[in-house]
Amino acid sequence: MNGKLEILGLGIDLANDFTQVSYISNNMENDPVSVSVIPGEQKYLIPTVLFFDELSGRWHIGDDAIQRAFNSNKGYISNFVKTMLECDDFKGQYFQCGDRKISYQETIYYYLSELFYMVRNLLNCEVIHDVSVAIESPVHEMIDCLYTQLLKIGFVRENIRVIDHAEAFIYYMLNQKRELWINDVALFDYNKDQFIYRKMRTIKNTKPKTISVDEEDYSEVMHYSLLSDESGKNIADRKFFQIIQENFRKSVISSVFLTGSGFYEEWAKESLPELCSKRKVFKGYNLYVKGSTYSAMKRYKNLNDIEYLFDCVGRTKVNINLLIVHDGRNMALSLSKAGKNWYEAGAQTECILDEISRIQVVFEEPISMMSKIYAIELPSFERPNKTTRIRISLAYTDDINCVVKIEDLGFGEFFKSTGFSVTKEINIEDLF
Amino acid sequence: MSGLLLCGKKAKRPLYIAHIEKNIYSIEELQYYLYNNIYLIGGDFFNDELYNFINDELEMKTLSQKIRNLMVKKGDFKDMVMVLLGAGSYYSMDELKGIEQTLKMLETMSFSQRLKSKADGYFNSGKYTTAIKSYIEIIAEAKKEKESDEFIASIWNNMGAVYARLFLFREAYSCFKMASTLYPGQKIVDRLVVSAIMCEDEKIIEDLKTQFKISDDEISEYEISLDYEKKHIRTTDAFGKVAEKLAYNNRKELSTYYQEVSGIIDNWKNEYREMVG
Repeated sequence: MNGKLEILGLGIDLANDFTQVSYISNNMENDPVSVSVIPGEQKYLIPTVLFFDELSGRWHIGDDAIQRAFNSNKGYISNFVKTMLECDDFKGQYFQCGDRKISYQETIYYYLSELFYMVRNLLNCEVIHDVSVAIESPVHEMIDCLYTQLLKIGFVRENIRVIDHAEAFIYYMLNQKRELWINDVALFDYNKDQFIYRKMRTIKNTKPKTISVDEEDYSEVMHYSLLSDESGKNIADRKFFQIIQENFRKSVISSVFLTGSGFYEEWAKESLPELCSKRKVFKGYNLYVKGSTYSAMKRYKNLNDIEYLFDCVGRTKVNINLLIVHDGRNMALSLSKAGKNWYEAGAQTECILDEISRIQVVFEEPISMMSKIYAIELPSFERPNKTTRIRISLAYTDDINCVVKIEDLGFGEFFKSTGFSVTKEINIEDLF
Repeated sequence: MSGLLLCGKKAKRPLYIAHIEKNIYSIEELQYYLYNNIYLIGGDFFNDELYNFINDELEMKTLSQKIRNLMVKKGDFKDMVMVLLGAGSYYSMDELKGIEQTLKMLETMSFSQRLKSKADGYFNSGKYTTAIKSYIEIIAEAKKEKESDEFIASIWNNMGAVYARLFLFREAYSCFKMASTLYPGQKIVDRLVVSAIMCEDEKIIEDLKTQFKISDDEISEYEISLDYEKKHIRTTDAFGKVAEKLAYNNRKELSTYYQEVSGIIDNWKNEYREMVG
């Protein structure tokens, strides 16, 4: 294709401090390649900052933005990912950029546009088929924003993915040698904003097999400021040692991954040997971005995730079924399956009421197989039996909260709709 | 078996049913229409338009093919109805058995009897003018087929009932008179007397007394019963709601009151227009 590279899947790790990009192209094997901002060097970390240069009339990101902003801070936006992730509603929110106000939506749009521009130039590529953005604990507004701006940039909806770091971790591990994840896998993520411990385990006695990621947040215990001096580093080392002992006592860990700027320096003098005892330990900074790229590659290559159900942050926890009658038999109609990205896990169906005044929705845990029935009462519609058509809609607002809405549709031109509707918000954890 | 019945696809382009002046958008609505209007439907219902609707709009290829096969073979009307009603889960086995019995019964009826069932169907679905026209045709046909007096009386009776629904009590009285003359019975006499009273015409009361030997005392008893019914109607919720809206009582703005009253009257007018067709 004109000698230009064709990228099948592009992964982005959008962190508050640095962004990373990696890709798989059509003439490569399955291993993603990280993008260096300086060709030939290993400069993979792109500062997540944005700057508007009044002189050039253009937006700039990364080190370029930092250099241009050196003389004047006006028009410089940083820490925007963290700010946005802490916001419930992006409407009306903006960053002050010099004399102008830039909305949250615009900030993401300009940043990603420049990022893609940079990547296309660096890689001499024209076409990027699929993109996946990994981000720490994405909230609903952020996911919506990323989708909307990526659509604006020119991607189609089914080629876009937004995943949590836990999910990126799973995708990464599924594409490593089996021996590394035959038992549990530990990941420590340490940076200015957090210290997170993640443990990935495979639950083999479910069908399909389940890959679960549990998380513990040790950010308060392992505050980044500890690394500012030697005594702090010693404290960090001791605390890390305790964390390892506490968590590894209960599990069989095949491999350990250390990621984040907190592990750049060598301070874990006691804890590192403890980690390495009978385990493989890896230190690197591109685990999430590579995992993100593997996620982007779902449509193209038969990667190993298909036969697994993901149980991690951002994925739905339960199967949701509707009890119906079909061909004279009681059946369960699947509305949503466990292990799906919550923002993609919605459903809608239409049914007719036959001598019933309540809808029964069944929530089922795929691992324990425990189920709970949630009943929604309906009023009497004062029509002949079987002349009330209802629409049942299911949507998630995050991975543990969903909304079920029921609307009366009447019965064609025979009986008009009353306009009745009822909405129930359900917390999955409260149910079980 | 009660429960939630999963719906089929909704059509973008509906099937228009002229005699009920409604569009049909789904298989369930089609089945509902067929089941509740079985007396009004003939073999011509199964035509290309129906086939295209089921095949293209509802995308029920298996069903459309079955119907097409029956149409080509000039299959039994009953078989085509059962194939259509049996698709999906809208009607239960018991309901299907019931309609099959009705269809079998229709097959054993004479032409006049089937026409009467059709006219009764119009009556039950509120198409009164069409019902009256049908009854008039049937009377002529029934005489030709030498149907029994009882049968012909039932047609006059039903026609009288339709006129009464339309508040045309003179016409109703005439019909009940014909029915009673052919095949007397207490129910017919009741309707005869009540329609005569509702006419509020001394000549008709005289005719009633002379032709049917109804005494003044008997007429008074009917009048008392009618009064009782009128009083009872005033105590119903439906009456109360309308009466409340029609009473001004200074509770609302005059313009709002006029609007509400106009709305009620317009509804009544529309209902009546639908009745007369």
